Amino acid sequence: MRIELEDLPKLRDIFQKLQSGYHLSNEDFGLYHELQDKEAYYEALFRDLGYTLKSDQRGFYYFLPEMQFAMNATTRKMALIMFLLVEHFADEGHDPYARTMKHTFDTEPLADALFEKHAGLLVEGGLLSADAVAKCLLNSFAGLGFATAVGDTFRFRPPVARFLDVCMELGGSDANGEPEETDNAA
Amino acid sequence: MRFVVDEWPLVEAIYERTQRGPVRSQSLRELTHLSKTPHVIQRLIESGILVELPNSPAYEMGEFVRGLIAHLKREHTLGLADEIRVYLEDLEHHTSSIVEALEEPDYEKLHLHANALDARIKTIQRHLHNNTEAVADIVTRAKTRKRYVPLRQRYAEVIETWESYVEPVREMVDPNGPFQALFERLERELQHTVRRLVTHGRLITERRHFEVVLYRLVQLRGDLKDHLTGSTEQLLPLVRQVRRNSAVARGASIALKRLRHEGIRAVPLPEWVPVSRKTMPNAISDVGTIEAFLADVASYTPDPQRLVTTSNTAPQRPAQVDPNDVADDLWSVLPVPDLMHWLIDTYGELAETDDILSLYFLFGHRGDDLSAEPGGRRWYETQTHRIHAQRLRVERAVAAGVDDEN
Repeated sequence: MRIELEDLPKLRDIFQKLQSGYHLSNEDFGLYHELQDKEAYYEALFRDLGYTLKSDQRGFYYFLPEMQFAMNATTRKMALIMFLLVEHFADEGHDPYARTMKHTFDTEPLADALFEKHAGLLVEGGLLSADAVAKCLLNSFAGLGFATAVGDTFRFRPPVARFLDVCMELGGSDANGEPEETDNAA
Repeated sequence: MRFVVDEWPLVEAIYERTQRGPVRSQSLRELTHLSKTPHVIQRLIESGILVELPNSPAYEMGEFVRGLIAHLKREHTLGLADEIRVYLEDLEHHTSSIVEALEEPDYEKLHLHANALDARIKTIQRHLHNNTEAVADIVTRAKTRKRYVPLRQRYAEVIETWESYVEPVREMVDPNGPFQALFERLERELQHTVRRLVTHGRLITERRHFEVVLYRLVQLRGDLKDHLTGSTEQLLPLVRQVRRNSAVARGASIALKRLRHEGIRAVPLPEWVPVSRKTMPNAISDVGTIEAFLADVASYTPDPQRLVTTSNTAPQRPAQVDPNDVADDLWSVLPVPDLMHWLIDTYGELAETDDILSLYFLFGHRGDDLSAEPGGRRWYETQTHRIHAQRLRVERAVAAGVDDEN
């Protein structure tokens, strides 16, 4: 495949974003559509540079981390918050998947509610206050393309489905089979 | 039908009432104000709209009229998968009887079972139509329930329909299932019957009757397939939505249980989930930047870091002893069998642990005029810390001793 770099005017921006761990989705209008239009070129180019461009059918792109890459603190904190959010939504009688994917949240009240209920676990995970939780939501999630922050509110973007996939995997679901009930004895 | 139309307000009220169970004559009389016809209840019973329950003073609506009103009101009750199974098995019974009648030959019996088969196929088609409507009603009800009702509860009827109706029917009409083979056999038998009737020189109307039954059977296969496809298309997305939400909630709960038991580092993420990687710039800086960096490194002096104590996390105060004075003191007492012990003994009350350590490394590694001989590690205690350090015997270096003697 012959790749003319002049044909990839947004290569630099796309590469820098993806390399930093950012997930490009349709809200990143220009970059996402550029990547979508010339996916094969970018995929080949990045592969030669040693990066695996992953295209998710739910509408986002990211670099697949190397297998030996250790989980960093940011990922750990984000995962912890996602697990707690899902439990929080379920406890409140919402549908966690739909709630996560479709709702717009007031950042501070949500962070306060999470910290109030799960302070111990959050502190252990390096989130020492409700403010830290809010910052993680606004900085880490939004900063890596998992959410869009608008003033004091935020909403998740399609890439957050990666964390929900982990939940589904742990919950033992496939698309067709009803998962087994788990025991509640912790 | 005319009577049902004329008495619609009363008929509809009775229909609503009988939906909750059989209705007693007293309750029926209370509804008669909706009609101006004299003896209307009696007429409803005589026309079969109301049916008296055996050994009971209660009434219910006749099945035909109930189905008709449900259709008019677009209210459909989903039938059972087993009903369809029984009906389909009944088709086989009638077809076998047709084959027998043809062999005997008994054209009366042949005609009877052909009619019965035709009627049974129509019944199944009517049931399928009703069930298609019922499934659509169920989906509409589920989708229009209040959003704050949890999904599992909102879609309970959907899940029930899927598990107790759609899945059994799917198994029934599976391409490799018994009913597919049954349909093929029935079609073969009926085609054979038509050919035999031609051979036997039977009336063309008789043959046409069988051809119509055969056509209806093919139509039924198509209806069954359409019904199942339509029901699946409507229900499956909702079923998947419920299952997905249940799995997400369950998975998060399992993850948190593990974190609470095994600690925060046990975040159960697969290797592919890490979302951030260190930026590794591929570009090399220009010469000027590199030279400036090297110059910085060459002139770098670290800021002294003071030890903290267990009782006070504030940095200790600056050193209180002058190393030159210590050197003079040490020089006067050489040889010293244990440098750290001597330093703590002599300056333990004046100097902080940091200073003791600085002096220890200063004199223990000054190779020009002092020689230090290690004698194994041991514990020392200052006023604030325990130190595990090498026991050093310090004495004048040989060259220094010679100079002095000279």
